[in-house]
Amino acid sequence: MAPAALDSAVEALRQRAGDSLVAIDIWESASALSLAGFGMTPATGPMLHRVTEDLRLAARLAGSILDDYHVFTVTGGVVVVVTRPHLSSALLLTADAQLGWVLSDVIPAVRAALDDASA
Amino acid sequence: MALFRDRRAFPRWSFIDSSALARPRHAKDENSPESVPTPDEPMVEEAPELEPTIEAATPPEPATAPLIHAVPDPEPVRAVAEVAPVSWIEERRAWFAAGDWPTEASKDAVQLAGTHPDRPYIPPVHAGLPADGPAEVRARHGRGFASLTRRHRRKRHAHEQVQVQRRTDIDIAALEAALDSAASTVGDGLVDVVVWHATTGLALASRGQVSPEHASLWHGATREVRAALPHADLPDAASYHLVGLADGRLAVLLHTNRDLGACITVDLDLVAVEALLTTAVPQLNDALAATSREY
Repeated sequence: MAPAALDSAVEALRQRAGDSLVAIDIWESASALSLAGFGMTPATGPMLHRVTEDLRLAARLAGSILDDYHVFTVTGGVVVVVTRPHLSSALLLTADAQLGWVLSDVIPAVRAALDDASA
Repeated sequence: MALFRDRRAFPRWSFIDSSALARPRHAKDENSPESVPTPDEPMVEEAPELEPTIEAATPPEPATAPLIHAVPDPEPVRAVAEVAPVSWIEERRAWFAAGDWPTEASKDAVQLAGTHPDRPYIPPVHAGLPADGPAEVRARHGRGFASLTRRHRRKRHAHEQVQVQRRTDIDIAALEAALDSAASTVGDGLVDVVVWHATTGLALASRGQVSPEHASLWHGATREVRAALPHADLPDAASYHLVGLADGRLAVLLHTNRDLGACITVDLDLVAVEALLTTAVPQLNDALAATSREY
Protein backbone atom coordinates (compact mmCIF):
# COMPACT_ATOMS: atom_id res chain seq x y z
CA MET A 1 0.00 0.00 0.00
CA ALA A 2 1.99 2.93 -1.32
CA PRO A 3 1.55 6.35 0.22
CA ALA A 4 1.40 7.84 -3.25
CA ALA A 5 -1.65 5.71 -4.00
CA LEU A 6 -3.37 6.97 -0.86
CA ASP A 7 -2.58 10.55 -1.75
CA SER A 8 -3.94 10.06 -5.22
CA ALA A 9 -7.12 8.57 -3.75
CA VAL A 10 -7.54 11.60 -1.52
CA GLU A 11 -7.00 13.92 -4.45
CA ALA A 12 -9.47 12.00 -6.58
CA LEU A 13 -12.16 12.25 -3.90
CA ARG A 14 -11.45 15.90 -3.43
CA GLN A 15 -12.04 16.54 -7.07
CA ARG A 16 -15.16 14.37 -7.09
CA ALA A 17 -16.83 15.92 -4.09
CA GLY A 18 -15.82 19.43 -5.02
CA ASP A 19 -16.53 22.22 -2.61
CA SER A 20 -18.78 20.02 -0.49
CA LEU A 21 -15.84 18.11 0.91
CA VAL A 22 -14.67 19.47 4.24
CA ALA A 23 -12.51 16.66 5.57
CA ILE A 24 -11.50 13.14 4.70
CA ASP A 25 -9.76 10.33 6.48
CA ILE A 26 -8.57 6.97 5.22
CA TRP A 27 -7.65 4.24 7.67
CA GLU A 28 -6.73 0.62 7.56
CA SER A 29 -9.77 -1.58 8.09
CA ALA A 30 -8.00 -4.14 10.24
CA SER A 31 -6.25 -1.86 12.71
CA ALA A 32 -8.21 1.41 12.29
CA LEU A 33 -4.85 3.15 11.86
CA SER A 34 -5.18 6.42 10.01
CA LEU A 35 -3.11 6.49 6.84
CA ALA A 36 -4.08 9.59 4.88
CA GLY A 37 -6.49 12.46 4.78
CA PHE A 38 -6.96 16.03 5.93
CA GLY A 39 -9.18 18.01 8.24
CA MET A 40 -9.82 15.20 10.73
CA THR A 41 -8.11 14.30 13.95
CA PRO A 42 -6.45 10.93 14.58
CA ALA A 43 -9.37 9.95 16.81
CA THR A 44 -11.92 10.14 14.02
CA GLY A 45 -10.89 6.98 12.18
CA PRO A 46 -10.83 4.64 15.17
CA MET A 47 -14.10 5.95 16.56
CA LEU A 48 -15.93 5.63 13.25
CA HIS A 49 -14.43 2.19 12.82
CA ARG A 50 -15.89 1.19 16.16
CA VAL A 51 -19.24 2.73 15.28
CA THR A 52 -19.29 0.75 12.06
CA GLU A 53 -18.59 -2.46 13.92
CA ASP A 54 -21.44 -1.71 16.32
CA LEU A 55 -23.78 -1.17 13.40
CA ARG A 56 -22.59 -4.36 11.77
CA LEU A 57 -23.31 -6.30 14.95
CA ALA A 58 -26.75 -4.73 15.38
CA ALA A 59 -27.66 -5.44 11.78
CA ARG A 60 -26.55 -9.05 12.05
CA LEU A 61 -28.54 -9.59 15.24
CA ALA A 62 -31.54 -7.95 13.61
CA GLY A 63 -31.37 -10.43 10.76
CA SER A 64 -29.67 -8.21 8.18
CA ILE A 65 -26.19 -7.81 6.82
CA LEU A 66 -24.49 -4.45 6.82
CA ASP A 67 -23.35 -3.21 3.46
CA ASP A 68 -20.10 -1.32 3.15
CA TYR A 69 -21.42 2.18 3.82
CA HIS A 70 -23.47 4.25 6.19
CA VAL A 71 -24.26 7.93 6.17
CA PHE A 72 -25.33 10.05 9.07
CA THR A 73 -26.18 13.67 9.31
CA VAL A 74 -24.48 15.85 11.87
CA THR A 75 -24.91 19.46 12.82
CA GLY A 76 -23.93 21.40 9.72
CA GLY A 77 -22.80 18.48 7.65
CA VAL A 78 -23.00 14.93 6.45
CA VAL A 79 -20.57 12.16 7.32
CA VAL A 80 -20.10 9.33 4.86
CA VAL A 81 -18.37 6.17 6.03
CA VAL A 82 -17.32 3.56 3.51
CA THR A 83 -15.70 0.33 4.63
CA ARG A 84 -13.85 -1.87 2.19
CA PRO A 85 -11.90 -5.06 2.96
CA HIS A 86 -8.51 -3.32 3.25
CA LEU A 87 -9.20 0.37 3.56
CA SER A 88 -11.96 2.44 5.02
CA SER A 89 -12.74 6.09 4.61
CA ALA A 90 -14.85 8.82 6.12
CA LEU A 91 -15.83 12.02 4.35
CA LEU A 92 -17.27 15.06 6.01
CA LEU A 93 -19.45 16.98 3.56
CA THR A 94 -21.29 20.22 3.99
CA ALA A 95 -24.95 20.27 4.90
CA ASP A 96 -26.06 21.27 1.42
CA ALA A 97 -24.91 17.94 -0.01
CA GLN A 98 -27.92 16.02 -1.27
CA LEU A 99 -28.18 12.56 0.23
CA GLY A 100 -29.35 11.16 -3.08
CA TRP A 101 -26.22 12.48 -4.76
CA VAL A 102 -24.15 11.07 -1.92
CA LEU A 103 -25.63 7.62 -2.29
CA SER A 104 -25.58 7.52 -6.06
CA ASP A 105 -22.35 9.34 -6.86
CA VAL A 106 -20.01 9.90 -3.93
CA ILE A 107 -20.12 6.46 -2.36
CA PRO A 108 -19.32 4.58 -5.58
CA ALA A 109 -16.43 6.96 -6.13
CA VAL A 110 -15.08 6.28 -2.66
CA ARG A 111 -15.35 2.56 -3.24
CA ALA A 112 -13.40 2.82 -6.43
CA ALA A 113 -10.73 5.02 -4.91
CA LEU A 114 -10.20 2.74 -1.93
CA ASP A 115 -10.02 -0.36 -4.09
CA ASP A 116 -7.51 1.30 -6.37
CA ALA A 117 -5.38 2.43 -3.45
CA SER A 118 -5.33 -0.99 -1.83
CA ALA A 119 -4.62 -2.87 -5.03
CA MET B 1 -43.42 26.20 94.10
CA ALA B 2 -39.75 25.45 94.27
CA LEU B 3 -36.95 25.97 91.87
CA PHE B 4 -34.48 23.15 91.79
CA ARG B 5 -31.77 21.96 89.50
CA ASP B 6 -32.78 18.92 87.60
CA ARG B 7 -29.93 16.43 87.55
CA ARG B 8 -31.58 13.79 85.47
CA ALA B 9 -30.29 14.89 82.09
CA PHE B 10 -29.18 18.11 80.55
CA PRO B 11 -28.64 20.77 83.22
CA ARG B 12 -31.78 22.75 83.50
CA TRP B 13 -34.00 24.39 85.98
CA SER B 14 -37.42 23.12 86.67
CA PHE B 15 -40.35 24.18 88.72
CA ILE B 16 -42.18 21.81 90.96
CA ASP B 17 -45.05 22.29 93.30
CA SER B 18 -43.42 21.61 96.61
CA SER B 19 -46.77 21.44 98.40
CA ALA B 20 -47.51 18.26 96.53
CA LEU B 21 -44.29 16.54 97.63
CA ALA B 22 -44.31 13.94 100.36
CA ARG B 23 -43.52 15.40 103.76
CA PRO B 24 -41.29 13.71 106.35
CA ARG B 25 -43.24 11.70 108.90
CA HIS B 26 -42.53 13.80 112.01
CA ALA B 27 -42.22 17.13 110.38
CA LYS B 28 -44.84 19.61 111.25
CA ASP B 29 -46.33 21.82 108.70
CA GLU B 30 -45.12 25.26 109.50
CA ASN B 31 -48.14 26.71 107.86
CA SER B 32 -50.63 24.61 109.73
CA PRO B 33 -52.82 26.60 112.17
CA GLU B 34 -51.94 24.53 115.21
CA SER B 35 -48.25 25.27 114.80
CA VAL B 36 -48.70 29.00 114.91
CA PRO B 37 -49.32 30.41 118.34
CA THR B 38 -52.05 32.88 118.72
CA PRO B 39 -51.20 36.32 120.07
CA ASP B 40 -53.40 35.66 123.11
CA GLU B 41 -51.19 32.91 124.37
CA PRO B 42 -48.97 34.03 127.22
CA MET B 43 -45.30 33.57 127.21
CA VAL B 44 -44.32 30.40 128.99
CA GLU B 45 -41.31 30.11 131.17
CA GLU B 46 -39.64 26.77 131.31
CA ALA B 47 -37.20 25.93 134.02
CA PRO B 48 -34.49 23.56 133.01
CA GLU B 49 -34.26 20.30 134.91
CA LEU B 50 -31.09 19.70 136.84
CA GLU B 51 -28.94 16.86 135.81
CA PRO B 52 -28.48 14.13 138.45
CA THR B 53 -25.25 14.60 140.34
CA ILE B 54 -22.67 11.90 140.61
CA GLU B 55 -20.47 13.42 143.28
CA ALA B 56 -22.15 15.14 146.23
CA ALA B 57 -19.05 17.21 146.92
CA THR B 58 -19.25 19.04 143.69
CA PRO B 59 -21.39 22.09 144.05
CA PRO B 60 -24.26 22.26 141.72
CA GLU B 61 -23.95 24.56 138.87
CA PRO B 62 -25.95 27.73 139.16
CA ALA B 63 -29.26 27.57 137.57
CA THR B 64 -29.36 29.17 134.26
CA ALA B 65 -31.76 31.83 133.36
CA PRO B 66 -35.12 30.56 132.31
CA LEU B 67 -35.64 30.33 128.57
CA ILE B 68 -38.19 32.66 127.27
CA HIS B 69 -39.86 31.74 124.03
CA ALA B 70 -40.85 34.85 122.28
CA VAL B 71 -44.19 34.55 120.69
CA PRO B 72 -43.72 35.52 117.04
CA ASP B 73 -46.09 37.63 115.19
CA PRO B 74 -48.77 35.52 113.65
CA GLU B 75 -48.18 34.90 109.97
CA PRO B 76 -51.27 34.96 107.86
CA VAL B 77 -52.24 31.57 106.70
CA ARG B 78 -51.85 31.29 103.00
CA ALA B 79 -55.06 31.01 101.20
CA VAL B 80 -55.84 27.74 99.56
CA ALA B 81 -56.30 29.47 96.23
CA GLU B 82 -52.67 30.65 96.28
CA VAL B 83 -51.32 27.24 97.00
CA ALA B 84 -53.33 25.57 94.30
CA PRO B 85 -51.35 25.31 91.03
CA VAL B 86 -52.34 27.76 88.37
CA SER B 87 -52.74 26.38 84.92
CA TRP B 88 -50.80 28.46 82.44
CA ILE B 89 -53.09 27.39 79.63
CA GLU B 90 -56.22 28.28 81.57
CA GLU B 91 -54.73 31.64 82.38
CA ARG B 92 -54.06 32.32 78.69
CA ARG B 93 -57.48 31.11 77.75
CA ALA B 94 -59.02 33.50 80.15
CA TRP B 95 -56.86 36.28 78.76
CA PHE B 96 -57.82 35.45 75.23
CA ALA B 97 -61.48 35.33 76.18
CA ALA B 98 -61.18 38.81 77.62
CA GLY B 99 -60.08 40.06 74.22
CA ASP B 100 -57.92 42.93 75.44
CA TRP B 101 -54.65 41.93 73.83
CA PRO B 102 -53.14 44.12 71.09
CA THR B 103 -53.71 42.86 67.59
CA GLU B 104 -51.45 45.30 65.76
CA ALA B 105 -48.91 47.92 66.53
CA SER B 106 -50.27 51.39 67.07
CA LYS B 107 -48.98 54.27 64.98
CA ASP B 108 -47.26 55.80 67.95
CA ALA B 109 -45.54 52.54 68.67
CA VAL B 110 -44.39 52.31 65.07
CA GLN B 111 -43.03 55.83 65.14
CA LEU B 112 -41.28 55.21 68.41
CA ALA B 113 -39.72 52.10 66.94
CA GLY B 114 -38.38 54.04 63.97
CA THR B 115 -34.67 54.69 63.72
CA HIS B 116 -34.92 58.39 62.98
CA PRO B 117 -36.31 60.80 65.56
CA ASP B 118 -37.91 63.27 63.14
CA ARG B 119 -38.37 61.51 59.88
CA PRO B 120 -41.63 59.63 59.82
CA TYR B 121 -41.17 55.93 59.51
CA ILE B 122 -43.05 54.37 56.65
CA PRO B 123 -43.35 50.65 57.19
CA PRO B 124 -42.68 48.56 54.08
CA VAL B 125 -45.59 46.95 52.42
CA HIS B 126 -45.78 43.38 53.54
CA ALA B 127 -46.17 41.09 50.58
CA GLY B 128 -48.11 38.63 52.61
CA LEU B 129 -48.01 34.90 52.42
CA PRO B 130 -47.65 33.26 49.01
CA ALA B 131 -50.87 32.43 47.29
CA ASP B 132 -49.60 29.00 46.24
CA GLY B 133 -49.52 26.17 48.66
CA PRO B 134 -46.27 24.88 50.14
CA ALA B 135 -46.38 21.76 47.99
CA GLU B 136 -46.61 23.78 44.79
CA VAL B 137 -43.86 26.15 45.87
CA ARG B 138 -41.66 23.22 46.85
CA ALA B 139 -42.30 21.54 43.51
CA ARG B 140 -41.43 24.71 41.65
CA HIS B 141 -38.40 25.82 43.64
CA GLY B 142 -37.25 22.51 45.01
CA ARG B 143 -37.06 23.39 48.67
CA GLY B 144 -40.08 25.49 49.34
CA PHE B 145 -39.70 28.70 51.20
CA ALA B 146 -36.20 27.90 52.40
CA SER B 147 -34.82 28.39 48.90
CA LEU B 148 -35.87 32.01 48.94
CA THR B 149 -33.16 32.93 51.39
CA ARG B 150 -29.60 32.86 50.28
CA ARG B 151 -28.41 31.48 53.57
CA HIS B 152 -30.29 28.26 53.09
CA ARG B 153 -29.51 27.85 49.41
CA ARG B 154 -27.49 24.75 48.79
CA LYS B 155 -24.23 25.29 46.98
CA ARG B 156 -24.23 23.27 43.81
CA HIS B 157 -21.17 21.90 42.17
CA ALA B 158 -19.79 23.15 38.89
CA HIS B 159 -21.32 20.68 36.45
CA GLU B 160 -24.22 19.54 38.56
CA GLN B 161 -27.56 19.65 36.82
CA VAL B 162 -30.91 19.47 38.44
CA GLN B 163 -32.64 16.30 37.42
CA VAL B 164 -36.11 17.10 36.22
CA GLN B 165 -38.34 14.16 35.60
CA ARG B 166 -40.04 14.47 32.25
CA ARG B 167 -43.46 13.08 31.70
CA THR B 168 -44.58 12.47 28.16
CA ASP B 169 -47.75 11.22 26.66
CA ILE B 170 -47.41 9.31 23.38
CA ASP B 171 -50.52 9.07 21.27
CA ILE B 172 -50.43 5.49 20.03
CA ALA B 173 -53.37 6.02 17.69
CA ALA B 174 -51.58 8.92 16.01
CA LEU B 175 -48.46 6.77 15.87
CA GLU B 176 -50.29 4.04 14.00
CA ALA B 177 -51.77 6.62 11.63
CA ALA B 178 -48.29 8.02 10.94
CA LEU B 179 -47.00 4.58 10.07
CA ASP B 180 -49.97 3.97 7.77
CA SER B 181 -49.30 7.26 6.03
CA ALA B 182 -45.61 6.44 5.61
CA ALA B 183 -46.41 3.00 4.26
CA SER B 184 -48.78 4.45 1.71
CA THR B 185 -46.23 7.09 0.68
CA VAL B 186 -43.33 4.68 0.23
CA GLY B 187 -45.46 2.06 -1.44
CA ASP B 188 -44.22 -1.37 -2.33
CA GLY B 189 -40.63 -0.50 -1.60
CA LEU B 190 -41.25 -0.45 2.13
CA VAL B 191 -39.70 -3.47 3.82
CA ASP B 192 -40.49 -2.62 7.42
CA VAL B 193 -40.79 0.32 9.74
CA VAL B 194 -40.63 0.30 13.51
CA VAL B 195 -40.95 3.05 16.11
CA TRP B 196 -39.40 2.71 19.55
CA HIS B 197 -39.25 4.59 22.78
CA ALA B 198 -35.99 6.50 22.78
CA THR B 199 -35.34 6.00 26.48
CA THR B 200 -36.03 2.31 26.81
CA GLY B 201 -35.82 0.99 23.24
CA LEU B 202 -39.22 -0.58 23.58
CA ALA B 203 -41.03 -1.03 20.26
CA LEU B 204 -44.22 1.01 20.16
CA ALA B 205 -45.55 0.33 16.67
CA SER B 206 -44.37 -1.39 13.54
CA ARG B 207 -45.24 -2.44 10.02
CA GLY B 208 -43.80 -5.38 8.15
CA GLN B 209 -41.88 -8.35 9.47
CA VAL B 210 -40.25 -6.93 12.57
CA SER B 211 -38.90 -9.10 15.36
CA PRO B 212 -39.22 -7.87 18.95
CA GLU B 213 -35.47 -7.36 19.30
CA HIS B 214 -35.30 -5.41 16.05
CA ALA B 215 -36.19 -2.11 17.68
CA SER B 216 -33.91 -2.51 20.68
CA LEU B 217 -30.94 -3.43 18.47
CA TRP B 218 -31.30 -0.40 16.25
CA HIS B 219 -31.98 1.71 19.30
CA GLY B 220 -28.75 0.54 20.90
CA ALA B 221 -26.77 1.12 17.74
CA THR B 222 -28.16 4.62 17.41
CA ARG B 223 -27.16 5.43 20.94
CA GLU B 224 -23.67 4.11 20.34
CA VAL B 225 -23.27 6.26 17.26
CA ARG B 226 -24.49 9.39 18.98
CA ALA B 227 -22.27 8.76 21.97
CA ALA B 228 -19.20 8.13 19.83
CA LEU B 229 -19.39 11.24 17.68
CA PRO B 230 -18.04 13.70 20.26
CA HIS B 231 -15.04 11.43 20.81
CA ALA B 232 -14.46 11.37 17.04
CA ASP B 233 -14.16 15.17 17.03
CA LEU B 234 -17.28 15.46 14.91
CA PRO B 235 -20.36 17.61 15.47
CA ASP B 236 -23.42 16.24 17.21
CA ALA B 237 -25.64 13.86 15.31
CA ALA B 238 -28.70 15.24 13.57
CA SER B 239 -31.91 13.48 12.60
CA TYR B 240 -31.03 10.94 9.92
CA HIS B 241 -28.70 7.98 9.74
CA LEU B 242 -28.64 5.97 6.55
CA VAL B 243 -27.28 2.47 6.87
CA GLY B 244 -26.69 0.48 3.75
CA LEU B 245 -27.76 -3.13 4.05
CA ALA B 246 -27.18 -6.12 1.86
CA ASP B 247 -29.54 -7.05 -0.95
CA GLY B 248 -29.94 -3.44 -1.97
CA ARG B 249 -31.75 -2.30 1.13
CA LEU B 250 -31.39 0.93 2.98
CA ALA B 251 -32.25 1.48 6.64
CA VAL B 252 -33.03 5.05 7.60
CA LEU B 253 -32.68 5.58 11.32
CA LEU B 254 -34.60 8.57 12.64
CA HIS B 255 -33.91 10.38 15.85
CA THR B 256 -37.22 12.14 16.03
CA ASN B 257 -36.93 13.72 19.44
CA ARG B 258 -36.00 12.79 22.98
CA ASP B 259 -38.87 10.34 23.19
CA LEU B 260 -39.09 8.56 19.89
CA GLY B 261 -36.80 6.85 17.43
CA ALA B 262 -37.65 4.98 14.28
CA CYS B 263 -36.16 2.83 11.58
CA ILE B 264 -37.61 2.56 8.11
CA THR B 265 -36.13 -0.01 5.79
CA VAL B 266 -36.73 0.26 2.05
CA ASP B 267 -35.75 -1.64 -1.04
CA LEU B 268 -33.59 0.61 -3.19
CA ASP B 269 -34.67 -1.23 -6.32
CA LEU B 270 -38.25 -0.10 -5.79
CA VAL B 271 -37.83 3.24 -4.10
CA ALA B 272 -36.24 6.40 -5.40
CA VAL B 273 -33.77 7.57 -2.77
CA GLU B 274 -34.19 11.23 -3.55
CA ALA B 275 -37.96 11.10 -3.15
CA LEU B 276 -37.66 9.00 -0.05
CA LEU B 277 -35.29 11.40 1.68
CA THR B 278 -37.05 14.57 0.59
CA THR B 279 -40.68 13.53 1.05
CA ALA B 280 -41.45 10.34 2.92
CA VAL B 281 -38.83 10.51 5.64
CA PRO B 282 -39.44 14.17 6.63
CA GLN B 283 -43.18 13.54 6.70
CA LEU B 284 -42.72 10.52 8.92
CA ASN B 285 -40.37 12.45 11.17
CA ASP B 286 -42.83 15.31 11.59
CA ALA B 287 -45.76 12.98 12.16
CA LEU B 288 -43.86 11.07 14.82
CA ALA B 289 -42.78 14.27 16.54
CA ALA B 290 -46.41 15.33 16.75
CA THR B 291 -47.44 12.17 18.57
CA SER B 292 -45.45 12.81 21.74
CA ARG B 293 -46.51 15.54 24.07
CA GLU B 294 -44.88 16.62 27.29
CA TYR B 295 -47.14 17.45 30.17
